[in-house]
Amino acid sequence: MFGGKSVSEVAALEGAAQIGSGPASSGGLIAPAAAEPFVVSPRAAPRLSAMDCVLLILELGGLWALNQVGYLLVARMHVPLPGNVAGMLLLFTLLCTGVVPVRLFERSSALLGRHLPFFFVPFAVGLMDLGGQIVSQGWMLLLVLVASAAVGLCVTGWVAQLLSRVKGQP
Amino acid sequence: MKLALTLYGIAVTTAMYAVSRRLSRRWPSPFTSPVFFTTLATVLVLALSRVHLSDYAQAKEILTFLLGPATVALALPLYRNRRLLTANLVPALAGLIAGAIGTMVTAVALAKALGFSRTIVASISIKSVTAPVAVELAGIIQADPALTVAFVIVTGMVGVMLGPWLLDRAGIRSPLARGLALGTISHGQGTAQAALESELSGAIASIALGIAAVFTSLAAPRLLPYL
Repeated sequence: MFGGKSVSEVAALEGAAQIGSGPASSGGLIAPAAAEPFVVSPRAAPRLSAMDCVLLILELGGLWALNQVGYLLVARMHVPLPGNVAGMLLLFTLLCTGVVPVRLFERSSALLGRHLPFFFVPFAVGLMDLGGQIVSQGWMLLLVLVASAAVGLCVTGWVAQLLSRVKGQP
Repeated sequence: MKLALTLYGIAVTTAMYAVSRRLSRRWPSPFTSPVFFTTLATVLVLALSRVHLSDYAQAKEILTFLLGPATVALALPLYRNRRLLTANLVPALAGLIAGAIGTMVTAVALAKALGFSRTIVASISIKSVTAPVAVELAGIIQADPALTVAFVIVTGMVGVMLGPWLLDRAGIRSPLARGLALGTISHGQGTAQAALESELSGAIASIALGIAAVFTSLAAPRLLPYL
């Protein structure tokens, strides 16, 4: 139950289209229940009872507080790191040390993961004032994006594959 | 008046998002994906109703209130799959770091060679970081958040459409390496694609997405002045 949404949750990030049922078996290293078919569809969202809503708001409050602490830490320590990343690292540490059980944030993280694209749309709307520039230079920008993505994909893949072969792993 | 405009901005964005969810369910495609469609439709409606970007600022503030908590919640997939990471620590981290730096250097070098402005170069340097982190990082490295989001989303699409074919061509067959590459370079969209390939790929991609975000957040402000 704990490892439940590991893949499906992230799969929902950033406007991923629907995903069919996942492959069947699970290896030992992957979070246990990840073998369930992961269907990313709004209909998969269970109906919430009043109690669920209260718990959800509390969870969101907790995540919000961690985020605030993250920003505070970053400002205090003068590290050029986004505060929300600091908050994420903080939660990760709390989970690893067992201070916070993972089920405490199960509800809210699933919900936020499902609707993550919604939260950065308002930033993208800022393109309104940059539209002309983007259109006129679009092909060159696309070239840069495609080439750099291609280099990144190959480098990451080659290095990881080579090193895991050295180690004798899959 | 100000309040009315803010409420209008919120209503338009939310409505377009609801529409995009339905559309992407009926006709799944990158063009009906929530980010692409909602952004385009919102911009169109706002422009047609003569609402200026400055009038949208308050709405943006309210709508993105949960972005921070959503980013913090990325710690969960990272935690759930941590054993997969520790079991493959050296190949995974080395691949991720090499790829994250490689893609950043290539993007910056090409953008500079093509004569793009400083703002565009800075924005394009962090295009492989997951969007909620990228918009925050944009503020730190003097990039434009709107441009950054656009670059991030296009990079996600490129990874999904081109990634699997390119990895085949490059002879990268290990599910670990493929998932790692897709998650590191094409963040959330890449992770969804990796999850389609295999469970292992999806899990490692979800780790890669989180760690790449942390790594690039630390590296970009330090590397950029030298590139």
